[in-house]
Amino acid sequence: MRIRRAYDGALALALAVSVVLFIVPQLFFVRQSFFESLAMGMMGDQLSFANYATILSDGFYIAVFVRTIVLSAIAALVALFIAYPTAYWLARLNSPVLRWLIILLLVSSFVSIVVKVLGLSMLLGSQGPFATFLRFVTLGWWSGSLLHNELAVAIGLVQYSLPLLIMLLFGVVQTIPKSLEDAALVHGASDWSLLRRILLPLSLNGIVTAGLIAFNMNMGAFTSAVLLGGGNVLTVPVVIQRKIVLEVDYPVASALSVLLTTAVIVINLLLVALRRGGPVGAGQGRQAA
Amino acid sequence: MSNTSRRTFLSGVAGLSIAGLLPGSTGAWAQGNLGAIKVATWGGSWRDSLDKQVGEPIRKAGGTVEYVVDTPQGNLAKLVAARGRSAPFDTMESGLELVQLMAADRFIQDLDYEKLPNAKLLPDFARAKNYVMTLGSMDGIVYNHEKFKEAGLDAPKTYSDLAHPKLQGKVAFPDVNHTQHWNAVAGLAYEAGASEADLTKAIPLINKIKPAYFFSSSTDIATKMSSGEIWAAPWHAGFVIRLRRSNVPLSISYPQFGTKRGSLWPVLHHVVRGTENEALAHRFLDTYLEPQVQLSHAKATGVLPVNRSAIQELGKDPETNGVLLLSDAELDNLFVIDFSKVNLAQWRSAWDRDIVRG
Amino acid sequence: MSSVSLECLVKSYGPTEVVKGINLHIEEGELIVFLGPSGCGKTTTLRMIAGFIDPTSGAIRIGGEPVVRKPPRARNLGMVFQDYALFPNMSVADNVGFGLVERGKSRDVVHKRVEQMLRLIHMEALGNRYPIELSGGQQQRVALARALAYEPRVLLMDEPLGALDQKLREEMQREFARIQRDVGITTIFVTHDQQEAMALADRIIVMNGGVIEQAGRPEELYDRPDTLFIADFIGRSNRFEGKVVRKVSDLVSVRLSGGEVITGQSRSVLSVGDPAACVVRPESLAVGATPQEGTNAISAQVLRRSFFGSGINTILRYGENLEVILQTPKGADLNLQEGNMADVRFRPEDTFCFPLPKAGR
Ligand SMILES: Nc1ncnc2c1ncn2[C@@H]1O[C@H](COP(=O)(O)OP(=O)(O)OP(=O)(O)O)[C@@H](O)[C@H]1O
Ligand SMILES: [Mg+2]
Repeated sequence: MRIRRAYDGALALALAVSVVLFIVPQLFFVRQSFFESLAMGMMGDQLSFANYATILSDGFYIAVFVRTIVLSAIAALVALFIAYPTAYWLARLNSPVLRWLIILLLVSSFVSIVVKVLGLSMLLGSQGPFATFLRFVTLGWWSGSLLHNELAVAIGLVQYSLPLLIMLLFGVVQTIPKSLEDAALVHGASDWSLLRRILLPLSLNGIVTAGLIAFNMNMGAFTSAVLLGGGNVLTVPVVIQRKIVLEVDYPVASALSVLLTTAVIVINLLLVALRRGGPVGAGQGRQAA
Repeated sequence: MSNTSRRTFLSGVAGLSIAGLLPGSTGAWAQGNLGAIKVATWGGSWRDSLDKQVGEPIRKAGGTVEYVVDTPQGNLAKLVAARGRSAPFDTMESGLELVQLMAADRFIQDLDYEKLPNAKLLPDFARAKNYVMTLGSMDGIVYNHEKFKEAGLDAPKTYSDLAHPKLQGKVAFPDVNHTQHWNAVAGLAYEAGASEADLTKAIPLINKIKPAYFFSSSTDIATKMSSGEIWAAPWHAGFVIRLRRSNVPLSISYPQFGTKRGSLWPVLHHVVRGTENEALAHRFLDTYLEPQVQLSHAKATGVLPVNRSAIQELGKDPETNGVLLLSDAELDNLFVIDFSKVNLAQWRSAWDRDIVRG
Repeated sequence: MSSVSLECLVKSYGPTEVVKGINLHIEEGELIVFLGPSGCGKTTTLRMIAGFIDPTSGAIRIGGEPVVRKPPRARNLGMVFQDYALFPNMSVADNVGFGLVERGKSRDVVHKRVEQMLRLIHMEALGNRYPIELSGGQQQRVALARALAYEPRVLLMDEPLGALDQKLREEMQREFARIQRDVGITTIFVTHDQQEAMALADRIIVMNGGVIEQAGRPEELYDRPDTLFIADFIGRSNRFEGKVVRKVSDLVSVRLSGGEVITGQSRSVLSVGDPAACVVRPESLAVGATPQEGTNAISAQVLRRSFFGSGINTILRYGENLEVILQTPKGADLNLQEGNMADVRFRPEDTFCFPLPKAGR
């Protein structure tokens, strides 16, 4: 019993640390967002919703939010589409190479985003292989670059979240015994119905979680948007950064970041709620026990 | 307060221990410990040259110089963020778009010209109450003359020339947080028949150019110019000189601003209010203004010194030939933006909303 | 329901052959058990039949039709896995109906057939449960129903009872034997439990090191082992080693370490002077006062006796350290005292002699 209590104490401590590290700075932002901005980082002393009203009534900000959400969602989906088959392949790879591939994956997920983005901008630039190929097949009619647009930013986001997603989903697929696949196949399932009736339902919770993690990362992504978007792709984090650096307007920047956090939380809760109400999956089957 | 004093104290200790370790470095100690400063400046080759020309002599004299690298706006944001606490750096390079902001808010202190003997060698306009103009970049259209020749294009004469169909996807434009932004949009405003008093007139022309992207860092555009990804961009002559050294075939052309031709973007230097080492800050600045240092730094980075004798010396450098406008007549005819006329908030809003992107 | 033929079936992983040329014909409706020690290639062979593993060479015919290189789903087989492999995201009924749905059967047909299968396994009431809510035995039966629902040609089972405790295991063996008889399906059952093999099999295929050691009805294997391995592996036996001193047609005489000469049957190539091992089942041993003509006899010391329900085991020591087990029915009182010497007798008909690999090899 005493051990149990000590354990609870440790948990409470961890919770307290999280609150201090995460919630408190957010509260600071929240507070700041309700004051009027005077120049040079100074704030008025009247509480008001003025900053929120400014943002929410301005088509420019709305467009920025919509762009950020759509871009993040698409990039997360694309990343899932790439990560799941890769994770599946890795999880079923019965070879000593596997360990090295995992190490490679781990290492690559620690590579600085700046370095990754640099590599991508060389790959997508007008001198890179893709643009060269397109120039070649269009007989020089097309001679642009694939950089500096929403597509490039999306590719950057996908690239950044991919190693993490693969590792998450690798764990998910590993929990599905190979014998379930054998059973499905021997009982007559096609590859497609193996995927649809067995693999996807059994990985659904993991896929949703991984997708949300990627989405949340994308919503806050700054470096890819700046470097690959080349000033052409204004997302919420980019606009926040400009508000702070160019205009030294902390209250509006705070309001933007509060709205961004709110959007992320709402979208996560929505998806989780949808998942609860959804069809019975493995999770539900297990929970019933 | 206590932060800075601790930092000074610690670097003093570090200096001591290093002095004890390295043979022959006792000389520095003998010349006295000047303490430490931090200088806020741009990064890349600019910082490297600055450190070599100004940082090095300060170190030799027994001081310590560190750098905080960012755009002037970025550094100003750091200053604002540190309001009420000790300043994050002691001196700072900036541009015209920031002086009013900073002076009004008293982030910078008045200069003590007694401690800046080299400033006496400068023309009057270079000495202001709270800044001294150290150098200036010569802004114009930097372009890859080989690519232009291959495409059968003439050298661009105006900023609007960048809208040529053959340049689609090959032109980059300095973003609003980049130093070279202002002369470029001012130039376009003049080409649209307006002036810096109404920069929004430049917007349709920028949309017509439809730049491939908007650069925020010179390192970035330098890479893309070198690779041939980008053929032309409003930028400054310094990079023509620097990139020619690695055989990138770049030239610069200077469009008209009404009757003026070519544009200067002055580099300003401030001493930050609340510095704990005012003496070393001034000493750094004064070293910066030494004619020989001016010349070497200007040569290395391809900018214009403010010291006239340095300018004359620079004219003898073959690297500047045909790149910088150095005759007295040309210098007198350079456009310098009058920032008091610029409506900054209006322009930033227009830039975010009215530029066609993607 | 179909016959199955394996012809010169070989599987190698790199340089190592794990299945080394298996020939076997399984009749329609036959219940075959693959029995053998761990690693002998049972699972590999079964998975080649199922289509999960491509043979390195050789042919597999099901109902006369060659199936090598056909995917598992095209072979129309049923299979039960050791871990049951029930789909955790589906109810019992959906699990049972899985193969039917995959075969595009209408909802009605699936429903009727699932009910029928659930009746067969006595689980009519549990169709809506999820696998996690079932006991091990119930899961096993669902797995069986799932494998049988679409009337496959052959049923494959890889140690299906391996995860159950002894009592449940025996119950499931009976249950399975009943269902298999009802359905009459050709079945290949893999196990390394010989009790189970004996209880179920029409024919046991004993595998060892990738080859078939012997195939035959359970009593054939028990009564007439072809090899020393079979004699050792199937049932308990006493083993006496020595050198061949005489050979007359099928009978060889072997001199043991204690000097006694025993005679047994041999169908192997044995010549005088060869090292040989003779095995005798514990129940073929007797302790008796009256020596009979032609009976083998050795003298051994009684160590202890143990009671095992239906009979009594007597452990004796022969020579330095060879333990001999003698099994007698409960009633028979042998009047043996621990520590005493006893004369152990057995008939040459019950003694089987095999060559031993020569020492040093
Ligand atoms: N993928 C593989 N690669 C290399 N060797 C393998 C592979 N699969 C099986 N083997 C080897 O083949 C041999 C036979 O394996 P198999 O699984 O058929 O044995 P088994 O008779 O089913 O044993 P058990 O009773 O333990 O299940 C073993 O020695 C095993 O190590
Ligand atoms: Mg096995």
